[in-house]
Amino acid sequence: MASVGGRGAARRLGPLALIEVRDLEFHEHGREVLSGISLSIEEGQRVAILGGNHSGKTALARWLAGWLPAQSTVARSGSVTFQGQAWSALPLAERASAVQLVGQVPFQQLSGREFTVRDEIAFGPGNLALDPREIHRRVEHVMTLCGLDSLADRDPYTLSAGEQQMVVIANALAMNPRVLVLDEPTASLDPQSAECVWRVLSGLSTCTTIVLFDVSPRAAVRMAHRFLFLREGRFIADGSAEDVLLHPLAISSLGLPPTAEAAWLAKQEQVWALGVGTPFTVDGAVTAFREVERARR
Amino acid sequence: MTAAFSLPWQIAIPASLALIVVGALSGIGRSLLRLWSATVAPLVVALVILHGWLLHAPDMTVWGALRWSRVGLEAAARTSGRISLLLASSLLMLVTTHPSQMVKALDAEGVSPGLSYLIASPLLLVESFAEKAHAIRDAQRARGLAIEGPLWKHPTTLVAVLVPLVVFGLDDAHRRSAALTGRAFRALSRRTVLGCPSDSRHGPLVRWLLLAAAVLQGGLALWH
Repeated sequence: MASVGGRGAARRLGPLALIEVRDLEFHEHGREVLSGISLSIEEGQRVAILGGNHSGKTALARWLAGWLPAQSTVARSGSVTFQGQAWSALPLAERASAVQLVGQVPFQQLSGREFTVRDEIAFGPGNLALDPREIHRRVEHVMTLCGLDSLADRDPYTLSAGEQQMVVIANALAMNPRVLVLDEPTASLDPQSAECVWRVLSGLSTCTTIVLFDVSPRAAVRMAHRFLFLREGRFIADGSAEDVLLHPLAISSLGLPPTAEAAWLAKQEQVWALGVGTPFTVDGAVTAFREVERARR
Repeated sequence: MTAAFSLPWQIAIPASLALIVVGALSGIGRSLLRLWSATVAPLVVALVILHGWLLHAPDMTVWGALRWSRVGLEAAARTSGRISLLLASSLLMLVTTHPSQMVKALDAEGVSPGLSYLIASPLLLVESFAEKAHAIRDAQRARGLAIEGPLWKHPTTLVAVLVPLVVFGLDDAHRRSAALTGRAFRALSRRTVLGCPSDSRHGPLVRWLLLAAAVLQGGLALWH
């Protein structure tokens, strides 16, 4: 489904909605940041919310994660609920177990309290007063998952930005959240470190609901099934990659992944085959170009 | 601390030397002695010169070319003894106790996590803030600001470096606080600690005795 328009354009309400946003209006420092945002995220969904700078991505990510803005920047109207309950009504421990947010700057997401990577990862579960054996199990599991075993006894503040971001992701996963909100998690990383982050995120269990905010569709197409395009605090489109990424406003704001751009150019030169979809990933491109070649023969 | 301020110098100085011996028996004698002497020796020399020879006292005794005061030297010994004992005990703890172990021990004892945060965060974050200060300084230098020499000689430069650093500090505190809240920091009154240092058999008793001794010394000092 692709929907273009204003208020309620992205609403998709269902009985299994984990997070539901209804008509959210949010102003910050006198500026309208989010307007008429409605969104329903169901359990197990992989959602990519794409938008350029100042489109309201970070503000929406914070709302989805229950990181409620300060008193001076409260929502003018609308609501955000987790399984029908307002975030503010949920105790902090429940909120932290329900959703975790990974932001852009890794250094600012470390606790500033723990002296080794292992202790840093155990910090969150420790705050939930879990059984030590359960904390140990979670820590070992996420360290292996994120490739941090060799860094377990290192000071997290002496790691590279890429390694620190992996620690931040491990921190979030150790909380065993039902929803993982990622706000441009590779914004400050080099391509190699970014690739490591995407590999870990793509390999997560399908039970974990993921909401990814990014400026580029390149990584999003590898892990998301549903796409939304955010522009000036409003949803412009909601649907599959084909529906959203080929929206003219999205193309002009975000650009296309290289594979889709190649197909786009091939279409312009009339060498594309009818019925073959636009490829957004490398794997998709290999299949699509083979199909095109077969059709041309 | 109460011992340093309530014991006479005749006990404080041997007590600080005894702490160095305890350190040596624990295998950290060399580093402890090095740190202690590097901090205490210049202070003792300065205090002896100041109180014993330079400051005027009614009991000045002429000894060849030198004039010295017994009262002044006693005052120097008293102050030196206090500082020496304070430093020896603090350094003994500093050299033997890693901050992470102390934070874990405090957590395990149910002390407020906020207090252990206050202990740990400056140690962990000071280097990052120093790096940020250098980055701001370099950026201001690139914009043509006079940076050479000590910063206090250039008040304008000091402001140009300090203001962005303070703004960064406030922003960092705001973001880190949100990140801590997101990880349920202080959500519950107790937290689980992994790898907590084990207490010795007599540890709790010794701590209670030390606390009682501190109260007793403080009381005696006030009484006298």
